[in-house]
Amino acid sequence: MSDDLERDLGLYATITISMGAMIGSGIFVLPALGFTKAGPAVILAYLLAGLVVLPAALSKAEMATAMPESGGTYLYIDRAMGPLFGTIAGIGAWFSLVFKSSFALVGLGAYLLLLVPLSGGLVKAVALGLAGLIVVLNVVGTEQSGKAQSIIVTAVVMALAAYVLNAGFAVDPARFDGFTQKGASGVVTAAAFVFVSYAGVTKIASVAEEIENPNRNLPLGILISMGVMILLYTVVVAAIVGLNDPAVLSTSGPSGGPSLTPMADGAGQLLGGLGVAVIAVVAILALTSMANAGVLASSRFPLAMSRDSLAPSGLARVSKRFQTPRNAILATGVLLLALIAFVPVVELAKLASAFKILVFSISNVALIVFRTSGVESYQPSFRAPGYPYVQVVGVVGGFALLTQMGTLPILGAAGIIVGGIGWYLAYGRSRTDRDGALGVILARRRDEDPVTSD
Amino acid sequence: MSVTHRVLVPFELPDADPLPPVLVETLAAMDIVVLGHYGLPEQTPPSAGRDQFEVDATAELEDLTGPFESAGAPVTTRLVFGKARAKTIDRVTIEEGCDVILTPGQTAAVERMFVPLRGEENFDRILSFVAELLTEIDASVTLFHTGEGFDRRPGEKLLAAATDRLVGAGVGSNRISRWLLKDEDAGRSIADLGAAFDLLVLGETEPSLRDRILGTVPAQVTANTEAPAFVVRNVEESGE
Repeated sequence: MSDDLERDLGLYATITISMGAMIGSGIFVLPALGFTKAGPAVILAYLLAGLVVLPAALSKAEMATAMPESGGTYLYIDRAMGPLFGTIAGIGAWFSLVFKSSFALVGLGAYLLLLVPLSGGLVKAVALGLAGLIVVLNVVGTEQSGKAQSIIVTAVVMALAAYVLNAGFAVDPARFDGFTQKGASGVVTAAAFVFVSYAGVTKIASVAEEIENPNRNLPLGILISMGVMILLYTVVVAAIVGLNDPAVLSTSGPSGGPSLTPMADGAGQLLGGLGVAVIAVVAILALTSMANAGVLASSRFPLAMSRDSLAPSGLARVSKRFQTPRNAILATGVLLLALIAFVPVVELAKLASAFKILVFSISNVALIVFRTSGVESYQPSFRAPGYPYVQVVGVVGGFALLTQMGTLPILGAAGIIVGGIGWYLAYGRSRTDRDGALGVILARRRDEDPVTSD
Repeated sequence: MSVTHRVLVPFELPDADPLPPVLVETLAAMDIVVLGHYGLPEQTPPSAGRDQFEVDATAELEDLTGPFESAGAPVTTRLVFGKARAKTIDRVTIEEGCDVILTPGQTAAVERMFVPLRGEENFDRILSFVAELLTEIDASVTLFHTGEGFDRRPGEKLLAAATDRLVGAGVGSNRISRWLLKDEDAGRSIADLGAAFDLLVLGETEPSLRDRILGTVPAQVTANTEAPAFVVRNVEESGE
């Protein structure tokens, strides 16, 4: 009874899967937030963020080919570094995706209000309603909609291209003045905030087992989709900066914060009301798809942890009636609704990125642990190029970004670590006895070096 | 000519419809691979579904396999959890070396069998399978061809050769009728005509561009009729 999948995803399919997972709040909602930090140089921030994501994408792709089970990041880190780090990574990855989904939903609400004449104060109410709907849909179970996904990706990319081409005629060069005004640290801070825009690239890792000729198509798929998205983000953000009054970008959002609909703000100048409507529709499609995928994917973390005895066993139960992991989805839904209701929008985005940076950094370390330990069971069919330098750059770059994010995101990341340790001590430790590949390395050290260890 | 046939019989778990007893009878002399595909929504990782439903699913599959075993057919059982049903059927078909796939349907009795022939392609295997079915059950068979074949052998000769092949395998010629139709749209007429019969045997077709839009001929036919259909794979061309 083998469960192995056929390898039938070619390079092109790999690239579109990756791009589909990336396109969403990163381009439709985040540019204005980045702009407040870096000014026009936010364009560079997108480039920098992409470069820091890349190592983690390659690391995860390699580990995915060695452990083709559901659970993703959590699973790799748990198997590499044991259940303590597994708990931290599982909670971090879960929070990050739920934060990102809630941010996408708030943005979605903002775009929806551009089409329907309702008061701006309703953004949260609309987002809560949509979140409830998405959770219900996921509990009931949905058919796989790969086709819908690829149609959305194509529509979004075409709309973005049209937007940029049109913007070429309307851009005001003066808007790029003050490019260096906020300095390098502004760019780094903005890069940290928009980091989450590229997180979707690791979706490739979750389908790694279905990709044909993985040694060629995995790294190429990652590099090409990242390259395309870096380029796309850069030109779109340049168009947004060129089209908009800086004051509109920085202050037209809820309670005077950054705009949540930066793409539409400038679209009015291109095609009038129609431009705004078209962009709003495209944004709604992309953000809905992202929020839905986010709820689906994030519910896998509590589920996988529960199967590994790191969370109550009820979270892994599959509902007989719907045949979905209802409890894991509901737990995710409760967190989602609470975040939308009680956490300010901008903080949602910052924390999503901060948690993602943390988890990605640990992923890079996990790969180094696997390779160093040489455990028998670790047999990846794809080996990440540039090891270990790429991973070291990823870890250092990640922490560099994290330190530039300001107090709250750093506290958030520290909170996840402390909370993860606390949860592990209170719940997981007594129920688990595995120690991961890291344990193999430590045991070997002790055997080789019995004298000097004191 | 003795080609042995291995037939894939897929069931959609849970709560699968059992196979009509008459079909079990037709298959009694063949190698059977029973595939239980436990459909899961996208939200559920297959491993979690297996953990929880494997026991029930195995029991259900045993009930479904029972009739084959009591009819004396050698049965291999596979149980797969997941969402991509069609893909799973294709994969298991190849892994198990099956050359015929059953598309289940409901029928009380098998009296009229319908066998559309496209041309030389897959000719031997289809007819050997039909002959084997006809030795198990007492049904009449209609061999069918439309004007536009995929190769140059005229329709009449093709149907005559098919009849000879069946007679040679011991099927009484009074049970065989031929039907030649001059029509451009073979796929559509097969789909329409097949609805009047209670069992179909079709050759697998390579999907053309048109098929990718409208569905392959076997897919159209089976969507158009309640009757069960056997799809005979073109094993030689699949490179086995």
